[in-house]
Amino acid sequence: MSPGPFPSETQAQVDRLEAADVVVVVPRCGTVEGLRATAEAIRAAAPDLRAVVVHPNTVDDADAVRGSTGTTTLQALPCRLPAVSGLPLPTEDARILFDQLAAVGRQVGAKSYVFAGAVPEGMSSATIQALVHPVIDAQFDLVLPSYARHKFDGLINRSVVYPLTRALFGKRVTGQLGIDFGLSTRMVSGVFDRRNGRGPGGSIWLLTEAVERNLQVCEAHVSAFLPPFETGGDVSAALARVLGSLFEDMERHAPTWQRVRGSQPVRIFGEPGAAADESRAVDASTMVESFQLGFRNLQEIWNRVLPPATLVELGRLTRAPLDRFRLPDALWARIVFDFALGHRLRSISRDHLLRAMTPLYLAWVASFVIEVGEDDHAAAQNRLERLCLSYETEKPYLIARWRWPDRFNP
Amino acid sequence: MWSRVEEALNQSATNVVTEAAGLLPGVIALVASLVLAALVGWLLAFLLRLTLRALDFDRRVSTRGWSDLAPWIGAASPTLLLTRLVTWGVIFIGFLIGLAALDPTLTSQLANRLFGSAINLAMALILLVVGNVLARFLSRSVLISLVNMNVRQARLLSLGVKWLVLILSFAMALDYLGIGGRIVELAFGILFGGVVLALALAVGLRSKDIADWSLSRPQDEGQQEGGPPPFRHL
Repeated sequence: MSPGPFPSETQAQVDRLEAADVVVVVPRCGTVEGLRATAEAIRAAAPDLRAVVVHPNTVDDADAVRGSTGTTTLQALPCRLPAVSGLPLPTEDARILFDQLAAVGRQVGAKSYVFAGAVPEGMSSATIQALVHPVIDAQFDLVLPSYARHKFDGLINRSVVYPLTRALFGKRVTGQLGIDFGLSTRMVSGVFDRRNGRGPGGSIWLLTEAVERNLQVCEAHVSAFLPPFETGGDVSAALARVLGSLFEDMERHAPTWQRVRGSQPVRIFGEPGAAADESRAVDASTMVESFQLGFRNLQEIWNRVLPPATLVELGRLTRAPLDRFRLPDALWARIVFDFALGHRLRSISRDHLLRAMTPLYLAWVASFVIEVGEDDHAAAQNRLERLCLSYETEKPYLIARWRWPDRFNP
Repeated sequence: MWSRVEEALNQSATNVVTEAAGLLPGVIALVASLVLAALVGWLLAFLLRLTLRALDFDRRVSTRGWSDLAPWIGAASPTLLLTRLVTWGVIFIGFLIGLAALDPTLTSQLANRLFGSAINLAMALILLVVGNVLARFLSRSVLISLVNMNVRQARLLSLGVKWLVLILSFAMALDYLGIGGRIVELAFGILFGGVVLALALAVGLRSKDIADWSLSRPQDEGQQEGGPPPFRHL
């Protein structure tokens, strides 16, 4: 039995790999056509680049990848990859993936690793170049994607993930929930360092791991193919999954983020794409009704987590007319902080706590939609910048409640 | 004849006084044992309270779901519950000691009866506690899920689920103890059926909200009639 992360037949293929500069993982590339498209994108991005393309073992056609055009040499490695659909990475899947990357990288002497999670039809040479160049040429350790998205896309990221991680860790990185990223050898080997003592369960947030280890982080404009609209999706389940792992990560890295003050922009590579700016028909009234229903029925849960002053403000908000429905940024930031603290203290079942946050999240979405519905993309971005600054301003509130949960009652 | 009556009265009074005099030491021993046990119990509870406060016991336990159990157990804090258990436990031991002083055979008879039914009693208590905790957990799950589905009758339905589980666990506990027999079975059946009927009526007669949500409501919040979903949450 193979002692490495690969079964013996795959390990034999790994042992036959030649030297390469970069390891490119394409987990969704399960067809011959997809492999050819990936190979073409890599060749177009960097003709001099030597790469190993790690793809699912549902297709085994090395000729689709291998070949030399000029000085480019591409090698294919079909193997069984963990089912990774995006960040954050479930810990056990990340451990398997990073072990596989490290093993392949040691064999070929790679300096850079790329995880290109978009479907191959949407992959471009610019994406490959944007994720590889910062690591190889500019010595960055982690490249996160910056997608040009519509102002009403990625709302969980805009409302909580980006502003919260920005306030906590001081890095202005928007692509926390993306599916394309670039890594250095230090990043791949450092996340599961034995001294880390990371146990099973939970998820990996690459930005916090990089900040914890003082590694260099940057962003790259990536024009990735995005999945279609979520139809019939359960926003409650999505919110619970993302925020649950984020709050666990907060607890794990509490000593780090309590020392950080303010935030700084990170270097961005590549040219920004044009964000979709089409007008979308929006009806905020249903979300406001959801919030009002939640306020009437979930008080017994909310009052275990939220202080009385916050509940009073929410009560006032339930009576606001639709055109003046505004959830203040400072209030929303404090609500998120209070739920993070409630998650840590396990006041009630964590799953119940996170799902009970759904009406409050919908209230934020309704408020955001009403406020920026007629604005262009730039104005919406300015609005989100003000939200992020509110998170940073309210951070002392979080620190005080985190350190003295029983004594601080505003 | 009157002398015989007087003699019989004297004899019976002497017997009663003699019996009472014979019991008196035992009664005094029982009272003394109870008083002493109360003092020892109070002292032990005092020491235990100091220790638990020094260990911040209440805060540690409160993060493990104590708030769900507290209303059903009736204690304001875990420390108070433990000290009460210790106090009454010591008093009960003192009662047994006093009872043995009163009549040695009484304690063995009491012990036989108690231990005979102790296991059933313990199981019934466990059933009740587990049922209570499960009822509150399930009702909260249902409440949150229905609120997120925009069902206006969320609170009513969650209350129904809670009482269904409570009635079931109570009936199981009584059945385990062998109390009531068929009366309990019938009462449980009537109550359970009544609650289910009430829930069905609540859902059926006011089903417009649920039908609107499942059939004609937009699949995403905020979607206008006939339009594409306007948001991506992820």
